[in-house]
Parts: sequence; structure tokens; C-alpha cells
Amino acid sequence: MESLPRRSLGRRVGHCFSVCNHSVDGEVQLFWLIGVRAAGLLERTVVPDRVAANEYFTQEKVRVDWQFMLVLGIFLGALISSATDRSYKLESVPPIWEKRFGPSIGKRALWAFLGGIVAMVGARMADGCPSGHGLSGTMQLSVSSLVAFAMFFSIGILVAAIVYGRRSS
Amino acid sequence: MNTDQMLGLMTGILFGFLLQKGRVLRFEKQVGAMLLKDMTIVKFMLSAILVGMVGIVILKDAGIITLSHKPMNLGAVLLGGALFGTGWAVMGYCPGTSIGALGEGRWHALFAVAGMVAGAGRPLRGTLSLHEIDGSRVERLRQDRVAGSPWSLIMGHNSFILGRNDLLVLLV
Repeated sequence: MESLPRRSLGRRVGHCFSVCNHSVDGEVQLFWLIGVRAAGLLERTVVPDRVAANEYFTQEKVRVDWQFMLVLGIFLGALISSATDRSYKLESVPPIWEKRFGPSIGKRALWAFLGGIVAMVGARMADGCPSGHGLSGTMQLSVSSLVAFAMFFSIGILVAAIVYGRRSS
Repeated sequence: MNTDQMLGLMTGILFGFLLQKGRVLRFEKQVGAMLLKDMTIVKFMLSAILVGMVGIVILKDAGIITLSHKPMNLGAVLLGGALFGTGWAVMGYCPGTSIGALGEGRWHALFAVAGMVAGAGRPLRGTLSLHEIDGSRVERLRQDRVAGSPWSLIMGHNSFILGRNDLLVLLV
């Protein structure tokens, strides 16, 4: 058994977040793309010097590769499909949300933003989302994907029941 | 555009098109599934998995592809999965569908996308794994990582079959 240096909880947590666990996986990592890549692209546009100095972005090359194109394709595919069968609809607040929390766009924006942060931190920790783990990983019967998929849904069901309630039915 | 980018784009367009036709890009469908009121997404995903599984087995046997498993860090997968489930329920989209939802005019998905971009930003770039939290289990989990599966840990030895992060070998 290897002995570890004693560390304070704070340093330990800090260390957890600074350890970059490189994925050996060449799967469709949509979350990774939208997150790191888009953040990199955005940051490169806004503050080019910072990206040049940021080892993370130089380490993880910011580039437009097939994964970036795939996400762009999802947008285009949905646009083509909805435009051709008239299901395209501009919507500012989802109906279920509006029924429960009212028509305020600001409120929806705030919670969607916070939810997005939590979900993405979780997706990167678990190394996948419903595409990478739920579809791609489960198809291969990866143990990690089955566990992740079960967690996504079970916790999602729990939180959705708390947030949206069950009274309206 | 090189071949990889072209293939990525074509696959993406097809994926987005079919997701939209399946009506699974919507907030109502995602939250509906989690409220156990609308099983569209569950049916969509399970059919996709079953069909995809057959294709994967055929392609694997033909030697065209190799299986590609994501690492099994039990703590990271459990905690990360729980965090993702929480965020998913609140924002009503997963990463792929949020982009698709933008494509079909549900522009409020932009807020979810912005949140996800922020969540993937620099301060949180690492992957939290159980062996980073619980030092006493480092060695066991390290061995487990070599085997790529929690089953060796559960079984107490490195079984040839169960030591892999791959249940497919049990079926085929």
C-alpha cells in the first residue's frame, strides 16, 4: 500500500480539480466539445493572449475537428428537419416550466444556466453524458456507462419530481 | 474541410435530423421522461441501443472497430452521474439535445448551453475520482483501473472475463 502525503481537505479538493484525467476514449464527447472547445474558441476570440498563455488550451488543442463538425451537424439537422415539417417553433420559455414557474425569461435563464454548470461538471466527472454513456457506452455494454446511465436517470427522476412536482396530472 | 470533418458533419446532420423527427429534442420530452409521464425518450434510447448493439457486434466481429470503454472510476461515475442528473432535470436538456433544440427554434436552450460552457471552463477542468478523495483505497482502485472494471474489486480477484469493463464478452 502506497502511503500518501497528508493534505488538508481544502488542498485535497483543490488537487482533485487540478488533476487532469486524460480520457483514452475517442468517443463522441459532445459535452467536452461544447464545453472545453467552445470555451477555448470563445476565449481565444475575446482574450487571445490568455489562451496562448493557458497551458490547458495548448495542451488540449483548440481546433475544429470532426467532433466540432458533428455538433454543428446536429444543429443543422434539427433545423432542416423542423423547417421541412413545420415543427420549427420559436419558444422563449418551455411550456412545462411556464406552467410551474411563470413566463419570466430571466428566471428560466438563471436556472437553465445553473443547471448547465452542474450538469457539465457532472458530465466531465463521469466522463460522459446521455450520448457518450447512455447511447454509445451502453451499446458496448461498458460497466461505467451502465452505472452512469442508471445514475443520470435515477437522480434526474428524483430532482424532477422535487422541482416540477407531481400535482398537475 | 478534411474527410474527418466531413464525416463528422454528415453524421451530425443525420443524428440531428433523426433526433428532431423522434421529437426527443424538446424540454417537455426530457422533463416528461424524468417525471415518468412521457416515455418517448426512453423508447427512443432503448431502441437506438438495441439496434446499435447489433451493429457494434457485427462491426467488432468483422474487425472494423474495436470497443472503446470509458474509464470506470466508481466514485467519479457515481458522483458525476448524480450531478449530471440534477443539472439535467433543472435545465431540461442534455448537451447534445440542447444544440438540437436551438436548431428547431427553442432558443431558450441558449441559456443551458451558456451554463454548460461555463461549467466546462478552467477552474473545474479536472476529473474528480474516488481515489483522489479516499487515499486508503488508492491502491485497490489503481489495480481496479488496470483491470478497467469494478468487478475485480467486487470479486476480490482479477477474473479474466469479469476483470474487463465490458459485459459484451459475456453475451457474445
